[in-house]
Amino acid sequence: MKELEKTKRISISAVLFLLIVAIGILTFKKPEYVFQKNTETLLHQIANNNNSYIITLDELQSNEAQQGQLIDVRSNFDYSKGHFKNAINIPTHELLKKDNLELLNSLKKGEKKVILYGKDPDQANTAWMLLYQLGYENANILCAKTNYSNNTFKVENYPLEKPSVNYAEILQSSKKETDKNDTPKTPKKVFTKPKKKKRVPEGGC
Amino acid sequence: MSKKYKLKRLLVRRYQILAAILFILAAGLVLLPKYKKNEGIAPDLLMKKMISSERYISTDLLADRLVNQDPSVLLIDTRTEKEFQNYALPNAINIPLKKLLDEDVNGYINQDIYDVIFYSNDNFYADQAWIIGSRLGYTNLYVLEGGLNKWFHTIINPELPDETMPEEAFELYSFRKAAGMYFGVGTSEQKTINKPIKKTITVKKKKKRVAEGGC
Repeated sequence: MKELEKTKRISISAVLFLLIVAIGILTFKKPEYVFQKNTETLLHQIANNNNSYIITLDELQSNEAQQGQLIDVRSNFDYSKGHFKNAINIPTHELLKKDNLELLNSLKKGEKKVILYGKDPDQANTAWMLLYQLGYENANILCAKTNYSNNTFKVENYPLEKPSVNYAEILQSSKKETDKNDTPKTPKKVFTKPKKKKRVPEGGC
Repeated sequence: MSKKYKLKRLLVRRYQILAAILFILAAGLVLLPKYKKNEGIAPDLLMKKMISSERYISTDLLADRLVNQDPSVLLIDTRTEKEFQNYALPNAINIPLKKLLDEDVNGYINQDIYDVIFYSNDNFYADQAWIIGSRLGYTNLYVLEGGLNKWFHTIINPELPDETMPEEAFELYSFRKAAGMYFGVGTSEQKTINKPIKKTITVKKKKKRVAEGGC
């Protein structure tokens, strides 16, 4: 009798064990996208590598022949109005789509440069940060401002992170100005004393 | 006979055998491929956060909060130390982008008491700092839209609105002008405001009285 109880317990625990294993395997979900770079390598790339991931407009135009694939990260609408020749349109929010990732993978395999551009480098930056973290080291940012006006697609150089004015100088000069202003001359308060008029001697009684 | 004997011996040792099987299976786990785990949040979630412009805080809003001395604002300057020494926003803390992940700096970024506002000359570096912080799952991070350049063109040196512009434009202009004065900039227009008004005290002249006669 005792022996029977023991085997019962063993079989129950064995079934439970197998069940746990099965549940574990079935619910195991592989993350769809995995960051290949950790934040430290990312920070090293953006802060210490002399902006090697940024391509200026001059660099793009000087050796166009050996350039890689231009990718427009603006919206479909902006792209349809005007874009670089040979550029393909992948808005930032569609970068993780399957066919876009396949395209990027094939570009990475072929060791072709990927040049991202948007309406300004800030817009391309988000796309670049995402791609770089996913391991696409061949991605670059085009440092240019693009806009569409007068029915033409215009590209301008963009001064990246350049202070437009010397802040300290302006502040100092204006401070001098305010210092002058701060001590306004207060006019002397003049109280005019009413002169006592000579009175005509009043007659007594 | 011998067969039965063997089975019996096996039955006696069945627990040891079962335990051994489990041990072997457990050891097998070591051979499994390394499970890739994301540091911080998943890429698709990060992308959703990145494409929304919720992180941007306008220069006017920042000026308003600074003037009202909002205690929850924590300004972080991501430019280099030299630039920070040259000029910085009031009460800002300098954390150059290079040092963003240093341990002694982590306390400023990874907290949920203050609204951390990153700024740089433009918003390029501030954006990058924001993206790294957001990936690590830090909350309450913001970016000053347009950075110091826009700060100077809106708050310190605002553009005079056209006469045809709506009233709001003028209200905004006068707010910016006043905020600019708060941040220590006097402009030529201020002079007119500062001119003290002459106080004139008029003394009523006493009327000549006709000599009063006695009784």
